[in-house]
Amino acid sequence: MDRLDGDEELLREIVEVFLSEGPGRIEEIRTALQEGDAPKIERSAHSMKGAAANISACRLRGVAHDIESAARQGALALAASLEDALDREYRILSAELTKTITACGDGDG
Amino acid sequence: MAMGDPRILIAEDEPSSRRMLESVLSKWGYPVVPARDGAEAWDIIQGEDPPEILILDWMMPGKEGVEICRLLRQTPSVRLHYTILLTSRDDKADVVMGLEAGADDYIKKPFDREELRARIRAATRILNLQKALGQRVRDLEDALEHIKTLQGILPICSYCKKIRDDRNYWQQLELYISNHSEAEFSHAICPDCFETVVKPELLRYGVTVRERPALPRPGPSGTP
Repeated sequence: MDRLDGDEELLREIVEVFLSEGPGRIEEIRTALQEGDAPKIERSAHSMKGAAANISACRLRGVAHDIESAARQGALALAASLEDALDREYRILSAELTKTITACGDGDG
Repeated sequence: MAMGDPRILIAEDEPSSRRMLESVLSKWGYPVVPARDGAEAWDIIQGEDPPEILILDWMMPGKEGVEICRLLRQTPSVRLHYTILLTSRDDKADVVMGLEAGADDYIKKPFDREELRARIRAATRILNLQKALGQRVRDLEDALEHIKTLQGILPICSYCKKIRDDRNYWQQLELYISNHSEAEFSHAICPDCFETVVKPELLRYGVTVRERPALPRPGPSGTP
């Protein structure tokens, strides 16, 4: 997170943006997986990957990356099998992030 | 345009990445114009006074970054711009493809601060150089245009020696030349005209004219 140059406020803002966009993104990937729409799966997983990479969330980024490449290669079954992992990683991460920014918001006192 | 910090377009559909770039670049003092997707970016690029540095996400809805690079290459424009592709792809072939499409540089996502800073500085340097070069070419073209107007065929009156200019107006020779060149005139009388015009005129008014030995007439007998 050294890209933020110690800017707590920005860190908070970036995390908030990430969390507000997250559920919609997960939903988008899920719908695309159900529809079996490979280009849509690839695109939405790619977005998730970028968002995760931006906040250095390596595990979520990894799962999103795997879904993206599976969709690109047309391996829809493989992509669909990663849905649960994506869901799990996102839930763990968002819980962690929510805790962090809430703690920051409470201040030092 | 002043050679200060150029404005930067950030075309990135992923909000948190866009916000991060926006914040970092503004902090360094660059004026930033954000775009939410490729279509919005393209509108801004084609609009009035677009930013000069274009940071384009490779994969975004509307228009992909590579496509924008390609379109910019195909559209002849006098406007200067420097395109940087933002890519999470790390395959060498992808980088080559991006550069072939017309991107000037690329940055891998998630970006490294120092690398981003150095690349933006390089872009600024190149843009300033191109601007200076463009100005130089325009100056030279102006100068050439000037010379050309004095090189073409000039219609001149056989009697009074006035010159017809491009607006069909007959101008005194000296006025025409001083308008079209850096030359200036100081008026004098040549020895020939002194003999044939001035001297008889003065004599007509009863003025005696002294010879002017200080100004020897050039000619076969005039040289020592």
